[in-house]
Amino acid sequence: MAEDPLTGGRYAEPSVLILTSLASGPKHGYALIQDIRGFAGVDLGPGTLYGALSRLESQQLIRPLRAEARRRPYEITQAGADALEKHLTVLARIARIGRQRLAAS
Amino acid sequence: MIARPNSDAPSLGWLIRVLLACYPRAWRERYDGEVRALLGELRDSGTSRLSLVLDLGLGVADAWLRPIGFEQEDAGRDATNRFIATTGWGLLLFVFAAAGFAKMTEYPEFVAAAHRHVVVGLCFDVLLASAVAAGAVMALATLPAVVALLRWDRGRSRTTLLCLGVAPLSVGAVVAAALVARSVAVSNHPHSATNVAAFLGLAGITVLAGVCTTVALTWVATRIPETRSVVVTRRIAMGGLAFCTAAATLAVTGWAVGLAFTDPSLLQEDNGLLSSPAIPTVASIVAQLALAAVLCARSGWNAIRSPLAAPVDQAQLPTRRSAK
Repeated sequence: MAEDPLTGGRYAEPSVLILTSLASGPKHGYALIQDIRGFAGVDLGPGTLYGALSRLESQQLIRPLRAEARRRPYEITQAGADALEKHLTVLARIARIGRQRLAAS
Repeated sequence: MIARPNSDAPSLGWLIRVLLACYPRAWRERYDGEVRALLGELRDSGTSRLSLVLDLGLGVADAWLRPIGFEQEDAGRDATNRFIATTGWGLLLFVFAAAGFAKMTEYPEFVAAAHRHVVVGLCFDVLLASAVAAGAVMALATLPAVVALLRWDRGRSRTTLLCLGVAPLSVGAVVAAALVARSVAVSNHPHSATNVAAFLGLAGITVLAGVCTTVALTWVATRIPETRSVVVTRRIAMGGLAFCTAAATLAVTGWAVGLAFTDPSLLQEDNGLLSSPAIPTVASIVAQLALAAVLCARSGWNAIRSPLAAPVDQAQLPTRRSAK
């Protein structure tokens, strides 16, 4: 069975960061790295980035667009947006509960 | 078609180029150009080369260990890669076992025993014939693959030629080292420091040659176009190779059993490889040969039963003009 790219394996976190980045519009590899560094402070290497991109693409959570001078942009699909929304809802719940418990302790 | 670096592609370090070449072919066909462009931009932005190398190394391992999506669509190519790996291990075991047996039986006592007893001598001959036949079968199976590969790669890079040259160079280096070790062994006690040093040197060169050959041949093997002649000869060759390795296993077993009945004293001394005990040495050689036979038989069975990639005609392969 195919692994959920947002929750399983070493590409889970990069996949969430990529989908979050693509949620604001299509980007190619270097733009993704820059954007993710900007909003998350995480540096994705090329092996990690394309490992995650290939998994997201195979799950049809993103789709490639026409290449521009060897740089191919990717955009999030509706299935990708839904998966990200669901994942962020879970994260938000975890964050809320975590804060409540920290405050109570 | 595998994406190739354009003339305006950024200059990447050789280690990064090697790592990119180590990705599975399906991955390279899909992402190589994009990643090269990205690496150029990352290099210009001052990203540490060490971190790029480490990250790409992990990516390569992951692409091979956990292939996904588009890579799984290419089931025929995966079957080919499994076939190459299984056959490679089988051949490696066969070569090691045969070399070990040849080294062990080079002494006059063993040669004399082969002349005195028909069964022992016959087993010797069967083993020799098996080794020659296995070599011929592999040469026959390799020829169409090399022709198809050179035709596909013609005029585009020298890497294929260089990689193809690594195997004979490695074999030459190992043979030269073996000759030196043998000349040292003749004039020294088997367990002397000089002899041990010569053996360790030979072992080191063999391992180095093996690693270089494996890397080069893996590079080559993952690029062989699945032409009709390549697929057909490979299937025929695997049957022959399985037969040869099985015959060699039986020959060494028969040789040891024959010797146990006719000249048991030869198996009771330190007459094994490098003056080790004879019986464990023979048992190890038989085990290696048996495993080689199983691997080759498995390869042959899979090659016949599993559909490989849809065979293409040689004429359909991209040429230098159409490949651009």
